[in-house]
Amino acid sequence: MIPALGLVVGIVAGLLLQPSVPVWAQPYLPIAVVAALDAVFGAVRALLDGIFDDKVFVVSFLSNVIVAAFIVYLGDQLGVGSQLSTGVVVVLGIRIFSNVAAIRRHLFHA
Amino acid sequence: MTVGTDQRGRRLDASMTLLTEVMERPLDPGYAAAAARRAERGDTSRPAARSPLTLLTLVVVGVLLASAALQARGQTTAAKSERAQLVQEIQKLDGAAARLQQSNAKLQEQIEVERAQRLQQQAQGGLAQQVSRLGIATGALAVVGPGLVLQVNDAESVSDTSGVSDPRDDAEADDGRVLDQDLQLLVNGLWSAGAEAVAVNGQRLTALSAIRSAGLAILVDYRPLSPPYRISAIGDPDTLRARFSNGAGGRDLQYLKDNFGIRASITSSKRLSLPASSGLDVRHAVPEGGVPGAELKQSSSPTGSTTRSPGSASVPTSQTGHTGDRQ
Repeated sequence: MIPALGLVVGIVAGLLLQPSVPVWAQPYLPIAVVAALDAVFGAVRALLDGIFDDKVFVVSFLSNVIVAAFIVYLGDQLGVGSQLSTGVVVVLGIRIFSNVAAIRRHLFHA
Repeated sequence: MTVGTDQRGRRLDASMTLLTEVMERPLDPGYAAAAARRAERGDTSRPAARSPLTLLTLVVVGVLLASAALQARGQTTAAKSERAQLVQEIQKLDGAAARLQQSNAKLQEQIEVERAQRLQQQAQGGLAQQVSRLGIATGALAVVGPGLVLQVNDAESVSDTSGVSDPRDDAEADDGRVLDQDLQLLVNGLWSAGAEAVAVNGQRLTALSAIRSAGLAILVDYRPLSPPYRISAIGDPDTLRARFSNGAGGRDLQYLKDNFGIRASITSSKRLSLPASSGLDVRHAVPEGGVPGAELKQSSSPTGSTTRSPGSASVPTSQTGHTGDRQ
C-alpha cells in the first residue's frame, strides 16, 4: 500500500513540478520509462512470490534504466538507434508481459 | 513449459538460449539469490516492501512516468499550436495582400482618370489617345472588349486524386497536369493570333510578366494560380479563334489534349474585362528632354534601358516576355 502511495506521490509531483527534461536526455526518456516499468513489475511479482528485496529492486531499477539508455546511446552513435530501441522495447516488453502474467496468476489464481 | 532433450542431453532449443532466457526467466534472478541468502542466515522476516529505499525509488519512477507523459504530450501540442499559428498568419497576410492589391487597383484607376482629365483639359487629345493606346498595349490600363476565353484544366485522373483547390498540397508529379510551359505556349499562341490583351486567371500579362512554376503551382507574376486556368484574350473573337486554332497554339493545345488528357475549352465572349497589371512600375525610363534632375544619362543612352519607348506603340504580337525574370 505504502509503496503504491509513493508511486502516486511521484506521479503527482512530476505533474505539478513539470521538471524540464534536458534536451540531450530526451531521446532516452521513453526507453528509460519502459525499463523502469520492467523493474517495477518485476518487483511486484517478487513481492507476491515472497522474495522481494529492496536492494535488488533499487539496483535492478537503476541498472535497467542506465543499460537501456546506454544501448540507445550506443545505437545512436552507430546509426542504428531506432533499431536498438526497438530491440530493447521488445525484450523488456516480453519480460513485462510474463511478469504481469505471473502477478495475475497470484492475484486471481487464473 | 517443458522442452524435450535430444540423445546427448542437450535441449532441443539450445540454439535459442537468448529467447529462452527472456521467455522463461522474466524475474530478475537477483530476487531469488537474495531470498536464498536470507534463508541461509536464518532470517525469516517478511521481505522489506516498505523500506524507504523502495519508497524513494517508486517516487523516482513516478516522476519519470509523469515527465515522460508530459514530454510526449507537450511535443504534440507544441507542433499543433505552431501549425495553427502559421496557418493563421498565412491567412492574415493573404488577406492583407488582397486588401493592398485592391487599394492599389483603386488608386491606379484614380490616377488614370485624373491623368486623362488633365490631358483633355490641356487640349492635347492626341497625347491622351497615345497614352491610352500604350496603356492597353503594355497592360497598364484595365481594358474591356470582345474576345476569347480559353479554359484549360488538369487531366481528370489528376483532379480526381488530388485536391483541386490547392495544387501545392499534392506531392506527386503527374503527366496530366497543366504545366507552366503549357500556359506559356497557349499564351504565345494567343498573342501571335492577334490578341490585344491577355490575362490568366485575372492576372494581366505584360511584356514583363513571367509564367513560371514553383513546386506544383503555376505562378503568374509571382502569384500562385489554381486550376482551372482561364486565359482571357481580347481581340476579334472569330479571327482570333481561327488564327489560334490554325497556328502553333492550336497545335500545342491539340497535342496536350491528345497525349495528356488535358481538358480545354474555347468560348467566345462579347465583353471581357481584364484588369490592369499590378506589376508595372517605371524603373529607368524618364521622358526625353524632360524633368530636370532626373537621370538623363540613362534615358538618352542609345542602347536604351528603357523598357517601353514611344516607338514600339504597336500591340505586341508574339512576345509574352514569360522568360523575363525580374529577380
